[in-house]
Amino acid sequence: MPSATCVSCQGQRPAALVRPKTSEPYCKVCFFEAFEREIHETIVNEQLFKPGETIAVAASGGKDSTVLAHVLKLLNERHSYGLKLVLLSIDEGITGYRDDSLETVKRNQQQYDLPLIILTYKELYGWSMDEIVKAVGRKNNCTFCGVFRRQALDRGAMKLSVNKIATGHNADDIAETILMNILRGDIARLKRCTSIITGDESDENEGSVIPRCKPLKYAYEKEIVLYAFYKRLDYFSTECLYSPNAYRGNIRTYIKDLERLRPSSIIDIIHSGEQVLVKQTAKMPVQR
Amino acid sequence: MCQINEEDDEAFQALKAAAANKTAISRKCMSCDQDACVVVRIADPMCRKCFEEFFIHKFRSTLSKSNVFGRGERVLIAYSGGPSSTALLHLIADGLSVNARRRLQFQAHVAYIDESSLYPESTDIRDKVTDLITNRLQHPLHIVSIDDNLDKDHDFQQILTERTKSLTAREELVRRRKLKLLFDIAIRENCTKLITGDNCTKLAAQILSDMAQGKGAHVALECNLTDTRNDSVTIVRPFREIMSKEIAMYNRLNSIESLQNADISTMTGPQSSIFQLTETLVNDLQRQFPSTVSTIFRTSDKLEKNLQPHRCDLCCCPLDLSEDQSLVSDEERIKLIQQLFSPTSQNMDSVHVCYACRRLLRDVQPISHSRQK
Repeated sequence: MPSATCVSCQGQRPAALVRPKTSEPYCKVCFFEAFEREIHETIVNEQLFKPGETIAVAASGGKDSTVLAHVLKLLNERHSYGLKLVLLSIDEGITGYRDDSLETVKRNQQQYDLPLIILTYKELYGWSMDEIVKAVGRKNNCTFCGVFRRQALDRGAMKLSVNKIATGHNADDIAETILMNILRGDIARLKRCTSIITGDESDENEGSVIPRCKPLKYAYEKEIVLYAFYKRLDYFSTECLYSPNAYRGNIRTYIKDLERLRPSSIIDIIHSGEQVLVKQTAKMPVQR
Repeated sequence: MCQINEEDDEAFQALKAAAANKTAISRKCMSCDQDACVVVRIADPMCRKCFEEFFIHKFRSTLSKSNVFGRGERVLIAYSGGPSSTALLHLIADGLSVNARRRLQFQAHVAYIDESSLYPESTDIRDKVTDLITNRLQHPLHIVSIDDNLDKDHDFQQILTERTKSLTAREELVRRRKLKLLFDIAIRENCTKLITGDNCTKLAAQILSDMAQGKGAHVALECNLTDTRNDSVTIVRPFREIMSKEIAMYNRLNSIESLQNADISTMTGPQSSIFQLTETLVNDLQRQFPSTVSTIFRTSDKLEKNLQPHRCDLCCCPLDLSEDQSLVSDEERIKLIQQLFSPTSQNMDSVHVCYACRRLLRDVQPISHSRQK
C-alpha cells in the first residue's frame, strides 16, 4: 500500500487524492498550489499576455471555461498580470444543452464580478444549431458548429474591443485534435493545432484576427475536474446533444484507455505533435 | 424445429430460391472481366491473375522507382517468420530468378533474430528457418539470439520480466534490441541495406502508437521507404504501401506458409500495451472507414524528417530534446544502454536519449529496486 502522505508537503497534511498527471498522492492544498502554479508557468514561459491587455475568456459554463475564468482571475491578482478580464459566451441555440449552461455563465458573472456579453448564432447567422441539424441530419454537426463558433468569438471580441481571447482547451483536447488531424489527413491543421497562441503577428495566415490562446494547454482534463470539484466551482456538465455521433468520440475513448495504461501519454502526444514538421513540398489547402 | 409445413409456406420457398440464386451470381474482375476471386481495397473485385500482377507490380515499382539498390549490392533481409516477411522472401526470390523481368541485381542475405529464450516453451524454430532459407531458398542465413553478447548482469529475459513493469516498455525494448542486432549483422556481413517486411497496416498502427509515446519526431523516418538513421545501413521498406490483407491474400493464393511465431504480446488482450490498443483502434476504424490506414500513411508521408545531427544512443533516431535534457545520468541505466544497444565494441563517454526512449527507461527499474521485492 503506497504511503498516504502528500509528496509535496511531505506529510504536513494527509493525502486526499492521487494526481492524474504524476500518479503521486497530494493533499488538497498542495494540489491547488501545483495546479495554479503550472498554469502560471505556462502563461509566463509562453508569454501569453502583456500588462494592460483586455482578455476575453470564452465562457460556455462548462468545467474548462469555469476553471479558466477562476484561475485567470486568481493569478491576475496574485501575480499582478495587469489584465482586464471579460466573459464572452456564445449561444448556439441547442435546446436542453446551451440554454442551461448559459444560466451557469450568468451566475459566473455574478460570482467573479466580470462583465459578460452573450452572442447567439441566430442573430449572427440567422440559423440556430437546432435548425441546422434539422436541415442536414445528425452527422458532421460539429463541423458547422465549430466554424460558426470561431467566427462568433471573433465578432464578440471585436465588439468588446479586447486584445486576446483565452479558451479553455485542455491537454486532452489538444491530444485528441492532434490524432484527429492525422486520421483525417488534415496536414494544415496538424501544423497549427499545437500552437499555444494562434493568430498573432508571427502567424502569416491570420494577421487580421484577434489572437487566441490556450492557457490550460498542459492541464489534464481529470485535474480540471478535480480542481473544480474540490473548489466547489459552479459549472454545468452535460454532453452536447449532437456529439454522440461524432468521430472524435472514437479518439476520446482511445485516449482515455491510453491514459489508464500510461498517464503521461497525453503530454507525450502533445510533445509528438509539437515535433512534427510538414514537408515544404506538401500541398496545403489554399484559403480563398 | 418450427412447426411450419415447408412445402406450403410461400415465404420460406422464396427464401430458399434466393439463397440458391446467390451462388450463381459472381463478380467480375475490374480489369479483365473474368470471374473475380478476391476483393481488393474497398470494393474492387479482381481475378487471381490480375491481383497477382497488381501486387507484384506494387512491390517492384516501389523498389525500381527510387533506384534504391546498386548493382551487386549486398542486402540483408530481415525475416521474422510472419506473413509479411515470408511473402517478402518469395517476391525477392522471384525477382532474383534468372528469367525475371528487370531482374533484381543485389546479393541477398537473410537474418533471423531468435527470441525463443524469452518464452518458456522452446520450439524448433531454428530448424524450420534454416530449412526454408538455407535449403529451399538458398540464401546465406544468419541467426542471432536476442541475448547475444550480453554479460551476466544483463540477462535480457530477466530485465524484461523482473525490471520492466509494463508490457508497453517490454515490447519497445524488444523492438529496439532486434533492430540493433539486425544492424550489427548487416555491418558484419558488409550489407549496406536492410530490407524489412513492414506493411502499410502495421506502419499505420506503429505511427499512432509512436505518437502516443512521444516519438512524433521520428514518424517521418519510421514510415519512409528509406530510413537513414544508421550511417552504414539503410532500412528499406518495399511493402509500405501494401495492406496486410493483400499480403494475406497473396500468401493464400500461392500457398505460402508463414511460421507460427508467438511473441511477448501474444494472448495478452487488446488493451495490454499501447501498441495493442492502437492496433485495435486502427482495425476498428478501418472497418467503419475503409480509408483510415491509407490516410494515416499519407499524412505521415507528408512529414519532414528531423534533421538533428545528434542521435539517440538507444534507438539511433535524431534527438528531439536539448543537450542537457537528453543526457542520461543514472549509472545503471547507462550500463543497460551500453550492454543492450551500443554498437559492438564502442565505449561511450556521455549517453543521450530521445524523449520517447527517456520515457521508456523510466519504466525499467534499477537492479537494487527490483532485488528489494
